[in-house]
Amino acid sequence: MFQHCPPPWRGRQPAAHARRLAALALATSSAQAAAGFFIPRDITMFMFSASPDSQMVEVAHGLRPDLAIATGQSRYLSDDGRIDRRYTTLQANWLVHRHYGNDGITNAYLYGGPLWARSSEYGASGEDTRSGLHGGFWVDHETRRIYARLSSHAYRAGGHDQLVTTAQALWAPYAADYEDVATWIGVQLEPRSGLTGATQVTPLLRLFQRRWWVDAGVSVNSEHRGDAFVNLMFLF
Amino acid sequence: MKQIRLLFASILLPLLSSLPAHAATTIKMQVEGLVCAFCGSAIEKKLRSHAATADVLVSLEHKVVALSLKDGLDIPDDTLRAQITDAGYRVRRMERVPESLDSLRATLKGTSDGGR
Repeated sequence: MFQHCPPPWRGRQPAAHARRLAALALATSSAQAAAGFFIPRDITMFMFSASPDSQMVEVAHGLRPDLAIATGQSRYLSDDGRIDRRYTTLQANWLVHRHYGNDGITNAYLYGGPLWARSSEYGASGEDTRSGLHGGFWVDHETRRIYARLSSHAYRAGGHDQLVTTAQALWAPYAADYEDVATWIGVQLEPRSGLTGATQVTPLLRLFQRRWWVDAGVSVNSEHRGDAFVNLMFLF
Repeated sequence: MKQIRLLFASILLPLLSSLPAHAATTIKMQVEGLVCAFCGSAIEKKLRSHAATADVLVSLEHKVVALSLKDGLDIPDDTLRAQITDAGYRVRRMERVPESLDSLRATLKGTSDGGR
């Protein structure tokens, strides 16, 4: 379905492209993933996502029906490849409200905690570690055929601020039941203020079944055209 | 005395023989918020962790969670409600039905297929 997408190196410097490929290959996580995602009590969730300019890995565990803790690492690159930020995070995810409708549910989460940042902005070596805070909100609505989400994740450390806002809208061509593989298609918009002026626009394919979840997409906006994105989650 | 025994026997025996062999071994719950298999899988995991659980059925179409019990074992209603709540959902109704889980599964599937 992506045959019309141009090659990922279009309009980029080879070095920047190599960095992006390396980032993808090394990919150890997902910024767009599930920092506020509901994690039931006593359930552990592993999350991983990667695109050329962001990677994240996170492990979260449900402590109570409305409270989970998570730890993870994430990395963001600016579009020109000059800024490389790496965060190690601890956080609490709080399910503030869940509305049970006739056909779906609406969730509102808050999350946040301390972070430790390393960045190319801190000096030539980039070895300095600065402590800071991060947090945000996540609101989503889901039926068996429609999914919509708006979330925002702010980072503050070492004199820099970064705000990653994510909006997703997805539609399921059929209402999957419990045993079925659920298929969703949609789009994700993600501006990252404090790092890039561009809004990443990524058509998505989402597949999940019981304990596993996969999102995959390729960005189409001019600054990130052809950038592949993958997000994996697993419950255990 | 013999007449009294006979009287009890004549009343009780027909009553006992009319009960199914495995009465109320399936617990059927109507659950609010059940829209996603990924999220709902936590319910299955929790229910299967019970020693008394023989099998679990989840239907998103009918918002039903059901489990069958092993012979001679049971799980209190309050425990089940708490586990569904812990998984992030609400039990709207709970009943013990004299129907096997396989039979319930077939009934729900038949209803789903008919509705599509």
